[in-house]
Amino acid sequence: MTDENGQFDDDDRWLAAEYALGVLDAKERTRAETLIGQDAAFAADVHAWETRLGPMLDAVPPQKVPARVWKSIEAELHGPAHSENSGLWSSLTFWRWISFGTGTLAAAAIAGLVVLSSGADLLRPIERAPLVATLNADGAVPAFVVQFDSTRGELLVRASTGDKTEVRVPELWVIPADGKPRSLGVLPAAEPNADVGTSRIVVPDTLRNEMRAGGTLAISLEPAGGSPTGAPTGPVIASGKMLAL
Amino acid sequence: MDERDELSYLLARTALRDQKAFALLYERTSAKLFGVCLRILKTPSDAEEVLQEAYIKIWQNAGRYDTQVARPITWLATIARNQSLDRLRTRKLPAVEIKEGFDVPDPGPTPEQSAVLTADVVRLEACLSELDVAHATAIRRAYLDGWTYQQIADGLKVPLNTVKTWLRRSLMKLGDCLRR
Repeated sequence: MTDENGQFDDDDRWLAAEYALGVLDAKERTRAETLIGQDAAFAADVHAWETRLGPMLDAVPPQKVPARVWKSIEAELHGPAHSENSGLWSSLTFWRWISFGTGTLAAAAIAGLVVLSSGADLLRPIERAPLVATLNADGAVPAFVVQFDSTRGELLVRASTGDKTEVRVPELWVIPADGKPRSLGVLPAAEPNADVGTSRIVVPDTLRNEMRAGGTLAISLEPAGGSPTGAPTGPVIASGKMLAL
Repeated sequence: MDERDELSYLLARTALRDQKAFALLYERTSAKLFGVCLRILKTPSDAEEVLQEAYIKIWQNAGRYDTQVARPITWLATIARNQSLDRLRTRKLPAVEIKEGFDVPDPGPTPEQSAVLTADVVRLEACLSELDVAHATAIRRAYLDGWTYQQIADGLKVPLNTVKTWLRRSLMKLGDCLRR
């Protein structure tokens, strides 16, 4: 992410730090924001500085937000019709009860409920509950969010950015307790410049039993058509543990 | 689950276009983000508009959050801050009133302001304290109040290039310290 030797050698390197610090004027900010969209190394540098300086924001006290702000956000994202159509389903209290309630019934009743990041100790095994893993590339921005629908036997994979290498394709693996990766299939390469892609993969019957909390999902880069050997041959670009709620 | 895990979870759900998770994420974090917008913009009407823009961005970019890099609240607050700075730099109103000088150093977060001092805050504060007091104050003013190089130069009554030179040097020291 940062180049120890060359980090401060050119103006654009300063531009990243200065953008994150906030001292730039409107014109320079626009230039930096254009570069963030075009130059991955620059964007990573900005991101690193934002992460370094970000803890300063802890000192800023919270302020009460007028209710109209949320109404505007809802209207903008989902249209005015949605915000009128409230009732039990969109009630925050109801939602909180469902998502953080401990009852098996509550958890099982909701399809597509639940959780998150690799490394977190949130394992709560409930049979047949949906599974989600976020797959983080090593310290980098691109991430995959994988959701397993056990009733349909389908995986939903969302990728933030596609790899630019043309000949390699991302292949998704499940790694059960025995440590031997089994292929779940090749993911369609994301369109160039596409911000987000979603892929649907049907999990083979023989592998459905491996889709369980504690198992690992990983994505490796393979030749077009997938790994020729049946085991990952390319670099693993993301991995994460499956968690259940 | 603790706050970090809960917010990471809500962000992951938001990335999957879960509107209820997003609503809960807003409920948990909007006061903090509004505080950031208000601190930079000073005018509540501007801060409200920018807060709205920030959450639209969060809805669109939740999938980019990486749990291993920053705390979720820091990531979210940074989006609100960037959005506020863009507004501050383009609006016609005079940006920031500079009434406080550099004689009184900003002490950083007090225990009241920051209930839990996380490891990243402690580390950043330690590194800021290694800098010249005026330079550390300038970094806080720039970061938290949106001061430009020009405003810092005016506040300190020193030439713009001088400010650039020593602020860059301070940033380099800060970066080195944080990488140690």
